[in-house]
Amino acid sequence: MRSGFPSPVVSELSSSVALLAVAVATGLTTVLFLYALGLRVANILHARDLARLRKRWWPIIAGATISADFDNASDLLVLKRGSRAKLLREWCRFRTYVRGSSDSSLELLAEQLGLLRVARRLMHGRSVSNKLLAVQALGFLGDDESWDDIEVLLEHDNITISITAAIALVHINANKAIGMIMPLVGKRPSWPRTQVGRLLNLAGPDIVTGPLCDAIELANSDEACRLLRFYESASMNDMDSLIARLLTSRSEPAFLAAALKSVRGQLPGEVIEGLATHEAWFVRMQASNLLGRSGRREDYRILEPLLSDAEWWVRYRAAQAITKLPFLGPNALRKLRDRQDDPYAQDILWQAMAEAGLE
Amino acid sequence: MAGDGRGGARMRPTAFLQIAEWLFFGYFILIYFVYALLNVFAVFRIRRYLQVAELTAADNVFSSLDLPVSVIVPAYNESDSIITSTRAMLQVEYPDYEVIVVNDGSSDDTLQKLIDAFNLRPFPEAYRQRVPCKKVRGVYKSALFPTLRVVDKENGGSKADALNAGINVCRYPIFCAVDADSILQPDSLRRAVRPFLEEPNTVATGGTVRIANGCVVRGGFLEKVGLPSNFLARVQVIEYLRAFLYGRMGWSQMNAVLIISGAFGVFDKEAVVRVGGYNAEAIGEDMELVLRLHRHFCESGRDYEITFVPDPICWTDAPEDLNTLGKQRIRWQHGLGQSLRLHKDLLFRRNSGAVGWLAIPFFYIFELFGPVVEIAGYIFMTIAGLSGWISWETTGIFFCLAIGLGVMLSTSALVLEEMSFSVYPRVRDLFKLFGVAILENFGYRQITLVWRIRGLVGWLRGKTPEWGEMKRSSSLTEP
Repeated sequence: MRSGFPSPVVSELSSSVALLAVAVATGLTTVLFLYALGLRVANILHARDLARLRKRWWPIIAGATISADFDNASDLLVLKRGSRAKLLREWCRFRTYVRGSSDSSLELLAEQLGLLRVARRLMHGRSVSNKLLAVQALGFLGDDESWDDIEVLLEHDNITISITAAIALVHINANKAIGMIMPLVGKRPSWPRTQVGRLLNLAGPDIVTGPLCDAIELANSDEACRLLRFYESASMNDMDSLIARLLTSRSEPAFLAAALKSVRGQLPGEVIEGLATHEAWFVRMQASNLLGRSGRREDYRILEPLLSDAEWWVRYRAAQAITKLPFLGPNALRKLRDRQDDPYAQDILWQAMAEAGLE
Repeated sequence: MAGDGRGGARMRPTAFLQIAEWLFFGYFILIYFVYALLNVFAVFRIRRYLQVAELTAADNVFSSLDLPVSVIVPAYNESDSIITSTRAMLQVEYPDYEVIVVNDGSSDDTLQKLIDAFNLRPFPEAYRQRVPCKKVRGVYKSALFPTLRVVDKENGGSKADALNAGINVCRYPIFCAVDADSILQPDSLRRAVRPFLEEPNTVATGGTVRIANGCVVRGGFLEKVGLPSNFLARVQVIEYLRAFLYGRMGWSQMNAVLIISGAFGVFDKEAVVRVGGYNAEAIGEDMELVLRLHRHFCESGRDYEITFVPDPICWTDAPEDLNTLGKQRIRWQHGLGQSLRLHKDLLFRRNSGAVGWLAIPFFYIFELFGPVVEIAGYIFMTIAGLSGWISWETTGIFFCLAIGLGVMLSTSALVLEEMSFSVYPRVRDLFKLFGVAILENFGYRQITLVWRIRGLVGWLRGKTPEWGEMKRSSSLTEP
């Protein structure tokens, strides 16, 4: 075999390319490992630095949540520039979790420490992470002067930045902010539900109810469904009356189901009766659910036929609703189950009763 | 003439050698270039994820908007670990969830252990079959934990069948499929469900799986993270880092995740029911389902997201002996081939996006047939070196290249790990992992290639791969 080939036949070019690749791989591997090691060391140093900062500042910040009696402004002067952002982060962490009068004590502490200046400076820096921290802090500090800078960020493509800006605006001026933000809640499905819920709860039902009702009325089905998820952030009575009205004037099944799911109070019997026989099974299911929550004697006659519904979920929710009715005891439920001709209705009642501990 | 004839004969093999040589060098450089690109995508994705995670940490106290989740745990002869893993599932921090353990006709005492440990009682379930599975013999409910139900069914011969039974029984709109030999981090569900809350089009989310060997688990809790002492398990730590941190995170950036590990995946139940549930005939049922979801949504033209969360949220028991590991890898390769073939029409499909135009071709070229090219490269270069067709320097360079690029990628996974979660706490762990990243290239990687080729051949010949008995490490076994 050897005699058939010149020795060696490999091209110089491929050898050179491969050698270069080996050199690059070896070099990069070394750099990467050193970088990983450097990251580990940096993490350890950062953790130590943070631990020191926390040891020094947590008692002061925690103390400020209890009493506004402190004088630590001079301490900030000895902090390095980098540590000031860390302190601001720690302050924000505390501020996120405290409620009530501790808010103002913490804000007073921040004022004394000059954290507002630190936040404003970070707001105009290039680091996204620091900008987010600054927006959060300026919101907590209620900094009116930064309103315009933060408002611009509402339209930012980055979801985290835009929603953080929205929350900050609510902190600064909830009334003004909710009016601007509510239409965006329906239109920006990418805004995290948990964060939107947080900002609406922050504003409170008195501020949220009006704009939320208006936004739901004007929204298309998809947007309205999204907005209905925040029912609990608004006044229950106002929302229920709006929903009762919309349930008779709108017909999109997805909207009807979302609306029924949201209601916490009671709806007129004739409204719910019509929806319990709706052609979309998920509307019937939500109607059953609602009837279970209402627990009214007159609803029983609507619920019983649903035990034989073609869709399992409707039967299941109807059975659960029936077992929850306060006027039906275990014996009455057993009688009801035994008199069902439909085996599916019997099975589902067995299951619901077992789940409720009635069997 | 004779001279001409010899010269002509000489030219052809020379050209052949040069083409082969370029092919193998080119292949190695290309595959690692693509992996490096995925790595870059993963860096961006993880950085963004961590930024958001830091800011939304406070949302953990806000739970009224969380979606309820059904955790489905298929179990077949899992007598050793089922109690530990079920306890772990029951201790997950989540406001509203249920746990459904599916005993897939185990021939050992899995069911009896569950009955005894959790005080199970027969439950009159109004069972309805939405996706196909073998007959359900009964449903039990725990008298101790109201959120725990156990489904006892006839053996369906596959995990997919057991998962389908779980889907038929589960109540909630989101389900999480978890292997019975895995344990979850207490905050795993909250993290994995978050994409469903933040992006309403999300239909599936994968979580990062880590190796439990070497960790201390007590009463279902992960008490201490540690590296396994067994070399094979330690190599798998590196493999999992590579696969999850930049493999899947990189594809996630393009909405082209093709695999959500069977060990931990969260799905929109209705989407899964709509596509017919898990395919009981598929060897890699996890990948097959994800491909079917991609296909369904591509066909329907609806927006959807299949995402990945990088947090270490699920810890699984890795094989510590060659026999079990080999069977696992043969099965995985077989499953890969089968899944890709079943959904071959996604390849270069007009509206299939990054899935059909990037991810599937990548999986065909580098994951499915890659081992053949790599092994052929080793064999060719060795023969060519021995025969003097190419110089020893070139042969040496080739092997250095293969090893060097392999070590480089593993090291970049270590960098990602340090940038993000730094799960292994001691500095010496980092050195140990780097050592493993080098050592795995001498023997382990080649054995893996052989297993993968066996899986590929088995799939091409239509042979069903063996499961065999999984030998457990002591990590998940109750003391």
